[in-house]
Amino acid sequence: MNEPSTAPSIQITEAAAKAALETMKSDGLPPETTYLRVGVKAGGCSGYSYQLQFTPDRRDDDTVIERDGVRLLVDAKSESFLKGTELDWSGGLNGKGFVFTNPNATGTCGCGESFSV
Amino acid sequence: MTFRDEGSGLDAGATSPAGRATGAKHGEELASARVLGYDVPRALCSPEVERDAILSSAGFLHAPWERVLEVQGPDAASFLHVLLTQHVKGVAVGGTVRAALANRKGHLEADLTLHRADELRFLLRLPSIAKERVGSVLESHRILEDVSFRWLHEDPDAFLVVGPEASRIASLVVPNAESAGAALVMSVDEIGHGDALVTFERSRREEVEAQLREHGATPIGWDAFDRRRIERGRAWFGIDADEERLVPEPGFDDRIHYDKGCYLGQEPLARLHFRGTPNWELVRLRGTTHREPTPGASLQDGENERVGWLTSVSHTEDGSVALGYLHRRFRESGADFVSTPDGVRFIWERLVDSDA
Repeated sequence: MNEPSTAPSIQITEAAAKAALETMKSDGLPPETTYLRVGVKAGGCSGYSYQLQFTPDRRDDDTVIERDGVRLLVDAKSESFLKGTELDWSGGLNGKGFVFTNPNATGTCGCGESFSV
Repeated sequence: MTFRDEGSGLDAGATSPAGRATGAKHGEELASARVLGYDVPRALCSPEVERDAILSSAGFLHAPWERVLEVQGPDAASFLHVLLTQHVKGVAVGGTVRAALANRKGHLEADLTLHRADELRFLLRLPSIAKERVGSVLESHRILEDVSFRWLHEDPDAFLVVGPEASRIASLVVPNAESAGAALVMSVDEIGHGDALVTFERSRREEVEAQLREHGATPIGWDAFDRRRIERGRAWFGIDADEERLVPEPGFDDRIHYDKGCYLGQEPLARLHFRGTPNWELVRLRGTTHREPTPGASLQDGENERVGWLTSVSHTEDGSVALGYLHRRFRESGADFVSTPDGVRFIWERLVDSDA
């Protein structure tokens, strides 16, 4: 398996890491054995949508990115869509949740759920 | 493709748009028509015999442009559901629906027939001109999904069986032709309810053809088929529609499920459906003279302003029947007639199901 990357393809902000840890705790998931899998799949008005999922399973082709006690997993195919992406957390009046800022996206749908490349 | 809203390539006498049946040129008697890149006979029997087969029993048309893609896997239903305009998850096993693949701006990438063979296996029928594009879009969107693709048949060939007896006859042929790798895709409504597509390896064409004849189907040419297609207002991707058309413009509203949630192209298509009207709409045109203009010819209003263009034309006993696009401003003007620059006059009507 790959060792944690020193030059991560995805940046996770302090706020996003904190929110992920809090969600793990509230869901009863131990942070030391739980990964946050970040991926891309077909879906949404613009063709591609993001996927976030807590999982204990790590695959051979996963890249691991660690910050403030949170370990992100990104599979090789999704990584090509996510290079340079920042994963942030928004707790503002317009909605609470993880926010992707993806420089590869050439367009997004109105609700922000999906993107095109 | 060269098919455009305005400008070059559409005037009468210009090169026919890609995929157009070149056998339909006025004043020429060509033995074959160029349909979606393939030459097919314009007629195989007398026009009366072929039309009678289509209307009262069954006729079969050689359709070498037909392709079938198998999409299979645990994620096949959800994968197709988020990419196609139709409610794929809601299609029962054995069911067949029309669907479209749109781009994110709501323009057509391909017109499809989707058949659910079992829980995890779907067949997508499409014309060969859309094969590369559909394959590319599906491949590029398969990331985490557990789904596989395979084109049915190494060297595909097909017959479209049409008419009231089409479904029954096709169902008799296919079990006998299974050794030839035959597959049956039921078409919801090609030019009539219960039409069927029979696909097979090209090397087995004679065998399948013999079985269709044996069970009572009559071979038909493109002209008889095309006339009925136009009469029924059935637009074909590659002839009446291309990648520049929004999905509803050629009358493909039935391909779209407006309540299913997100899919590729959903935002503009939902906006158009709930808040707008397409600028261009494919309509049926009935000409009362025996002059037959070329597909692509401009359509003009009473003041010779261009308001649309023809896509398909066929002879009838009374004159001609055609399909063409008209602009919203003209459609809403209340005018009943349009004409080509050389004076062929048509009455237009919206595409509603008709047995005329």
